[in-house]
Amino acid sequence: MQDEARHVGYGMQHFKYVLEHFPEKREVLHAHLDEAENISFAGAAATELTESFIILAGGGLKKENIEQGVRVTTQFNLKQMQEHFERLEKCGMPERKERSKLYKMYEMGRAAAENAGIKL
Amino acid sequence: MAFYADKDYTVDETVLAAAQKVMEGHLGLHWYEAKTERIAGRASDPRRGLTYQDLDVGSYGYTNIPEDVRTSQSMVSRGSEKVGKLPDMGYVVNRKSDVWSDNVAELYEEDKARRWVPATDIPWNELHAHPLAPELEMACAQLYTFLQECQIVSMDFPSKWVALINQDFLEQKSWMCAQMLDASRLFEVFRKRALYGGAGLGRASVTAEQGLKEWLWADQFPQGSVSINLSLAGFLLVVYRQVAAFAPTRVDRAIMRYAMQDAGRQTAYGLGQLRYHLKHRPLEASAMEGYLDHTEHALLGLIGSPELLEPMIIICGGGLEKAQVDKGRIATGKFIRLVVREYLEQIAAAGLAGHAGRSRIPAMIDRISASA
Repeated sequence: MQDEARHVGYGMQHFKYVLEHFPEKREVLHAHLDEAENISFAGAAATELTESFIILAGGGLKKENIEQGVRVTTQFNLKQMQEHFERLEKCGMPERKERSKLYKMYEMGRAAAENAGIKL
Repeated sequence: MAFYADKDYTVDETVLAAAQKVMEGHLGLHWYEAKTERIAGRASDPRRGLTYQDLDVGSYGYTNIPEDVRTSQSMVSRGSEKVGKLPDMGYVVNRKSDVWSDNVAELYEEDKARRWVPATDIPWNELHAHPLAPELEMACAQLYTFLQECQIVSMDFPSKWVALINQDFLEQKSWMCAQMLDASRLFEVFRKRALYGGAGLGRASVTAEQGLKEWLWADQFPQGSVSINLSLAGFLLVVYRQVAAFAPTRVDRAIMRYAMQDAGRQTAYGLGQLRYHLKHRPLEASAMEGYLDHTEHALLGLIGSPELLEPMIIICGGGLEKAQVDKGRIATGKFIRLVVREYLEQIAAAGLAGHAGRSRIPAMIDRISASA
């Protein structure tokens, strides 16, 4: 976590710097994120990751373990997407939510989770 | 973007349905059946901890990597099961003898075990408490300016190649990343030393930089490795030893002690790589000799650089008085001969025993060092 946090710290400051100093690149960056967020979604949808995550978070393969694992993994996935958009907002791109397909997926996922009684 | 994933996953119904099914609690567990070896890695020496050498087992090990890696072109971690449409990463170095050295895993482990921190491991306050005479401080500033130029190239060489090397050589790639960190740390300490002393930085060296660029841009990894990991690192190792022996302060001695251990690893890899390359590809020996004939003049660009030699003479002699300069010239003359002797010894030890007889360098060096 501490190593990854440094990468994120650099990524945010660099993104913020680019937006502040080269405002004309904003649209190019949106176009890039349109594709890059597709990859973020692919990572979250990789069953090789989510299934192992569910088992680890739930503590096993029994029905109650899986249910607990799904709850935790759902929260984790939604939190991850939420933080992505919070970071973009802090960097100076609050409008990203309006055009992002990933954000729409996040809103749908959040509504479905709330209906299932899973709170963020 | 230079590459697009094979589909837009946010609109792919198959992917969405599979993810949804899992998140409903219906796990497919297809990865449970991965056809991979079940092993339990154990540290052979508890004091050293779990190392890559301990995991050199079966399909996970590096010993059995074939000479030509033909079936692995994605970012998959060696030993995993490969299924489906994994992307081709376009690696251009896929031959073990082009990069491997038998000590790669050991060097990587040692590199991490011997990490150090310029900010806190160097007794910087001593420079403040015992400032050097201005001419010695100026000489140090120039020396450390020169060394920074060398470290930039040491950092750039592995950076330039690492993404082009097949992922199956994962210990090798990890070692190259460690080399980048070593070089950036040495760059940092040299810069801090120069700027702490009050003399600022000195002048860049044209002869050194021209030669270093030629070495950096070798178009084959084995050739570039000989230049950067053996010729340059071997040269720097002798520089560090020389400065440590004549260090004007405890700070400089401490810096050189750390620099020697880092450069020692780099040289050990350079020697091991050339040896491995020649052992497995004996027909390449004449091509390597030709490369050295063509490019080892750059070593003279380093050795003969006044931006190195003059501060070295002042540091070794202890000042700018005639007697001091004379003493410094004698010591620096020995240093020059030592650089060349060790370079030729290493080349011979790696398998090019006859190179010393055809190299133009010794004759050139005789001319320079005779003046001392």
